[in-house]
Amino acid sequence: MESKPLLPGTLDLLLLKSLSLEPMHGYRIAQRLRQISGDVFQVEEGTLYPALQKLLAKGWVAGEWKQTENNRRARYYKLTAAGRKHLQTQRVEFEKVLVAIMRVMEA
Amino acid sequence: MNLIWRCWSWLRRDALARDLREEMQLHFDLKVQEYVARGDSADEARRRARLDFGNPSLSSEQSREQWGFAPLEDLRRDLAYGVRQCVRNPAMTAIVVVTLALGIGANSAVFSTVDAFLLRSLPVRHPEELVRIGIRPSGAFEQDAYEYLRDHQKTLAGLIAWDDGNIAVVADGVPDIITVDYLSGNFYSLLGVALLQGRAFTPADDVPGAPAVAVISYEYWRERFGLDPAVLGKKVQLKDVACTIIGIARPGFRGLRTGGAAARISVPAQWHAHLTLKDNTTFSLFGRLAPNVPQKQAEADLDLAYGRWLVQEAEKVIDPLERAALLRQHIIVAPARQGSLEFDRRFVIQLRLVEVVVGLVLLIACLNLANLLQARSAARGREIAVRLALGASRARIVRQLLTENLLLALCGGALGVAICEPLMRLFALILRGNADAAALGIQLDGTVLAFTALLTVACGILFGLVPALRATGDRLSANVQGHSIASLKRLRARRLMIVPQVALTLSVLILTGLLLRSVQRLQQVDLGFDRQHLLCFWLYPTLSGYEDQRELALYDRVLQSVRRIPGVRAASLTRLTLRHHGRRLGLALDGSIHADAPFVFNTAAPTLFETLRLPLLTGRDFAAQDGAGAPPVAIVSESLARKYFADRNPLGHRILMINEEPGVARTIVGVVGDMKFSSRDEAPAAAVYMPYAQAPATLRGQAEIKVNTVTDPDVMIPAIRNQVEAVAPDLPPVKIVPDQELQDFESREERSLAGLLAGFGALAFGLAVLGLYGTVAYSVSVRLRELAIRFALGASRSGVLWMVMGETLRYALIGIVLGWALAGAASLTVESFLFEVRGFDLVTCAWAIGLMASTALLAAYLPARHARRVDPMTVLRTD
Repeated sequence: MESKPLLPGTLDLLLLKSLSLEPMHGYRIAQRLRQISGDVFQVEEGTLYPALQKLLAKGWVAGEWKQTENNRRARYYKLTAAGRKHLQTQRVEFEKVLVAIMRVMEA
Repeated sequence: MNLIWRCWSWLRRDALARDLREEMQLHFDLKVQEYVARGDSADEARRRARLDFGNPSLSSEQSREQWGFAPLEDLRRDLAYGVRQCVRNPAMTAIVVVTLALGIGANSAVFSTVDAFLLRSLPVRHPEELVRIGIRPSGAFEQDAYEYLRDHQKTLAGLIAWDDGNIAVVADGVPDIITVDYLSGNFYSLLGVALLQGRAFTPADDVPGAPAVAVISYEYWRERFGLDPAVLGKKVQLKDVACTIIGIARPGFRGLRTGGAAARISVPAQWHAHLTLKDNTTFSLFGRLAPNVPQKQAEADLDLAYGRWLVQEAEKVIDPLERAALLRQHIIVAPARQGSLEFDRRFVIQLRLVEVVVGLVLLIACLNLANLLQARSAARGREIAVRLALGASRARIVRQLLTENLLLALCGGALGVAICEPLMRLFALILRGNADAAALGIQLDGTVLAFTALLTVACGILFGLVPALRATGDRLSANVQGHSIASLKRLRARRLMIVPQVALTLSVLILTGLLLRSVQRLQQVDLGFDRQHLLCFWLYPTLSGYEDQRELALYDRVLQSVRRIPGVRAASLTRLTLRHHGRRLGLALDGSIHADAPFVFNTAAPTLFETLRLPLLTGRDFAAQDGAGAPPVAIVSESLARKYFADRNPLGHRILMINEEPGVARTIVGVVGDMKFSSRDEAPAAAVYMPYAQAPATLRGQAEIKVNTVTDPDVMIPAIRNQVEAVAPDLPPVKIVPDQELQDFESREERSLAGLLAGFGALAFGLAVLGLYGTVAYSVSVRLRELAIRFALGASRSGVLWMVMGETLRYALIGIVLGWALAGAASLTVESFLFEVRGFDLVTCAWAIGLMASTALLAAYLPARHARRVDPMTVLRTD
């Protein structure tokens, strides 16, 4: 299957959504994204980090350094209350847009 | 929230960077493990992890944008980088900064002058409501006309009368001549001008019998009283009037003047008649339009009132010609947002021309700098290509290059501001003969600084953006491989820019040449009298309180004592300076009237003609016996005698000046040689002279003393000054100048304009030469390989030399033709300055074109020589 670039603005949403399940570090997030999207999205994994820094700056996620299973230090990101709220509103917005697009395409 | 994060992250930016690095390293390591676990070799796993991960430096760069103040941080780093670049290449930095500083400084200085003279309104309340009231076709307002208009007009909020004049002020026993403003009592209140201290005049101060009061300028307060706070209430002595100082004007307030220096002292208008020279009895009138009154309506209203006044006045006039002239007068009302302009149309042309030239010079300088910087960024092409390849965005690199160039521009602008002040003074001195720019209102204020800032940024973008875009716009591969198709494109652009440079330089050269030739012609004019040995100085006895008989006695004492000085051949005086442009009309000879006969009407002391070495052709000179009570006599000039008497002997005939001395018939006692009263006169003027002692009161009060010396006049100046001071210690110090200086003064404007244009011309010339040189040098370096091939195929050395030069010189030639045409057009604007020289003066044009062409040839030849020495084998092997 051919990989597609992400729709602009959707990376934030995907990250927040992934983190809403459980706190994760960067590598896990990348794995998770690949798994749930079924390898459709082609994301250079390095670009996760600027996006995560942005979420940190906005206060939507918080970072915490912990040991991994393999005893290495890693930063685990978890959703904050503000992040949860943002995810909720974004999700509603996104669904509206999607519905609208689908309607246009099927008309 | 965001700001707190930015501050916090800025403080912890090192720790954040460490965390990010560790995080990304972990990600990468886990990725490698993943691929190894799938069975890849260690190298292959690493390669695939790298592909998946993308560009780590780009990622951390983008992450960093979330920390601290990223744009500012970038700016700081760009600036630091820019400073390093500038320091690494000091010669280039110096060239750019100094060129810009000169260009920007000169533009700011010219702009400050334009602002002071042409743009700025008077610093009064609602200057747009001010109007000036004048008379057409000609005429001026006497005190009583002003009072009539003031009392009968209905469309103005108020009418102001203003005049200025010189007066001798004695302070601490030292007499000095200063300028005094005579202002109607409503002046300050109508203009809405507040004083610095004390109170302003009121109409109550401006009625006969009111105590004498004065407002002094801030500058006078500083110079004369050392800012003494107790100055209010002190007295200044103007002639026999002791005026109490009641107020001090604000610094820089110049009354109604734009472009002139302020009066030191202002007194109410009622003192005008008593304090000024006898022939100065009129006022300038200004008014403020009443609310909702259009200018035309005010004009009609004032004209009506003035018409009624004229009818009254005309009844008092006996001479029918004069009465008709009076009744022809009409009022004109003109907007006077700037008050009274203390300069003429020729000055405006001068200023506009200088403005255009200085702007074009800066434009050329920027284009040249763009070329220079483009050459530099071309040299940095590889560095830029590498950075682009590493993931830097084009915008980021353009911003970086632009920051560097703006940094250069800012340095240039800052230095430009530093040299602006001296340049302003220089321009004021050259254009107005007064180095005190501030006194003329030329200042480095907010407006000028804003203009300078705008200009600096515009320059920075102009010479910085194009090279930056070019440098990043080329194909990556082309830059890394050092290809030269882009270079050839650039070469054509550079050659094109030769055209405006050469054209501008040549046209400025031609204009300068025309003006210089005109000055030369003016200096060669023979005025008809001996000016090699002539010294002149003015005496103003009236201003120091000498009246009537005392004035005449003073002249006699001064002349006698000067004549006694060894080395003085002769000394005499006249009322009008010999370069007086005024012409009178209306003669009666033996009773027959020549109403429109033009002549110069002057007064002379005995031995004037001997002093001027003007031949007395027949009859006698004036002598002591031609006193006030003696029969009125006159001496006429040769051309007047020839015109009206032809072959007859004019001696003994009667001449009457209809308008100057109605009813006084003078007997002609002598005929004197002709002279020109101005270098620009086409023919000698007809002149009538009368003895000083018999002059009407309007010609009394001041006189110009002429001294003819045996040897070099300059060395006589101190001796003469000592004698005058010994005879009249209470007079202000006299300013003695050689007559040649007065002659030079006539060509002052031409000379100042020529001087300024020569300065800018030299600058433009230097830039054009640099541009030519640079372009040819560049074309040689770009086409090295092509030239080598040509040589290898057997091209001759001189053929290639001409080919290299010729392509550039073709553009220079186009520039020369355009420049010639441009100069022809521009010379129309300076035609009023030109004397006996036409715009297409062949000699001047030939010189200028010759100079330009030979310099262009030299500037092209020097770098082209290198092309001759190209060794085909070495060049072709290096690639």
